[in-house]
Amino acid sequence: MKKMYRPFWSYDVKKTEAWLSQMANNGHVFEKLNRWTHCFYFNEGATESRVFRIAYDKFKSPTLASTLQNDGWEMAGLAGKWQISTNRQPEETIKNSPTRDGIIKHNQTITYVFFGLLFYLLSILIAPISLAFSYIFTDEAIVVEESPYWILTYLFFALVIGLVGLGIYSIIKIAKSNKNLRDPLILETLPRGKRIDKQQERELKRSGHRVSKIRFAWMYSPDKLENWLESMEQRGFNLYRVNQIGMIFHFTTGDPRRMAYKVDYQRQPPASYFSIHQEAGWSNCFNSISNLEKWTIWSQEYKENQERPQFYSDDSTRIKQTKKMVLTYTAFFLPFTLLYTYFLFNSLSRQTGFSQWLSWGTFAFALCIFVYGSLLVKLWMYYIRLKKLVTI
Amino acid sequence: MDTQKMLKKYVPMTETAFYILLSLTTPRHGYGIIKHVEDLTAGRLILGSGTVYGTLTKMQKDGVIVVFADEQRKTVYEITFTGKQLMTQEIQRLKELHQNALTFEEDFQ
Repeated sequence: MKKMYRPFWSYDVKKTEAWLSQMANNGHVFEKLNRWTHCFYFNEGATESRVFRIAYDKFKSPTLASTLQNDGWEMAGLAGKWQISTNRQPEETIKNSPTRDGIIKHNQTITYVFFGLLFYLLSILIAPISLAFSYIFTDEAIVVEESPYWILTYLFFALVIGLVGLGIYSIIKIAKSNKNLRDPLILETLPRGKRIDKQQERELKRSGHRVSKIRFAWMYSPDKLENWLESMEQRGFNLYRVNQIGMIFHFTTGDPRRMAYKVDYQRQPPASYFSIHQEAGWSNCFNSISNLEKWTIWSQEYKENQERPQFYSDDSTRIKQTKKMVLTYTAFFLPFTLLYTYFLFNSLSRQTGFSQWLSWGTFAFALCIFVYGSLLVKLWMYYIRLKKLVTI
Repeated sequence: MDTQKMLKKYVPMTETAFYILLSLTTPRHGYGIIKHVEDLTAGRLILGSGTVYGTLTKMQKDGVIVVFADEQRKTVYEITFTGKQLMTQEIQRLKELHQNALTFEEDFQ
């Protein structure tokens, strides 16, 4: 049995798949993968041309779809949630193949973890680095205390630098490979004919046919944004663009339209999420940048004699999706609110004079509690509104 | 896959779940399911794409369906053995329902 070490095999699965095919061509038949040691094991065999496909399945479906089996696919190895399947047919004749969605999602998650790590390291490094700089520029003599424990400091710094290097390498490598894996997503923000370029936009602005409105924090009450956009359309304000961070809504003044709007929240949706809605007639008006918490605004026009298009045709899926969003955001905001409330009471109980109560610290804490608290209230009010709407 | 647990969770089925699985006699795309259900019910039931996407994702998680990518790299949904077992049970239940409906129909007129 031959053992091969391939440290970052999962960052570029296409390359790894090609490598496995190459190995099969040289008479090394893939036997198993140890995902902890990053080692691939091969048996000696006859030279064969084989296609390999690596998939990552969170749902752990132990068998391949029967359509895939009919196409000649067989499972070559399982390692945790990783599945390596192989096919003896020539690549051109294979019609169906295991999906890439799981890998893209897994890669994205790794990227977010590394981003978090880099952010954390950067924040703990700011203090020692700024200290070092201030010493260099003030010409003070640096006294280095002799101590065998310095080795720990150096080791720590080596570890940090190593982690930063690994993080940057991973993020760059994964971004490249994910771009390669993902289908050229047909993400049209508006039907092609209706798109407005920069030149037209300037003219519209000059002639006064353009209206821009600012909406903050609409994620916490999406139903209100939907209603507002629909009422704008009824008054002849046609939405044509939302800025990148989703705060400024640009309208042209035109004819009133019957438009159904739907603000939807998803966690790391695959390409199939976008294609099913687009095929069902929904246009994508806005897409939040982060895929981790994906906000999408969908719209669909309907005529007077038509029924209003339904995004969610049954209540249980709609409520389930809303609940997921509300709980995620609550898990994020509630600890902050409680923490600042604790700080506030702590500082109030220590101060006796009234003038001390009106200090900046008290004000800052109160402001934080107000902001986070009101977001929480907004979120849960939205959930209650939806529940009421459904049970009536 | 624990079929007993799935039976408890899925039978009796919602109309949405039933028609989604019923249209998977052959593997289909997400929008293909919507169109097929619309045809089957002569336009009575038009499933929302958000509902179909949400239900398919849940079913995939439960091992009732599996996915693969076709030539255009589009996601195709296929029913699993567990899914077929669920449908057999549900169809049995519906047959009984149908039989009883026919027997006692007149008494309500």
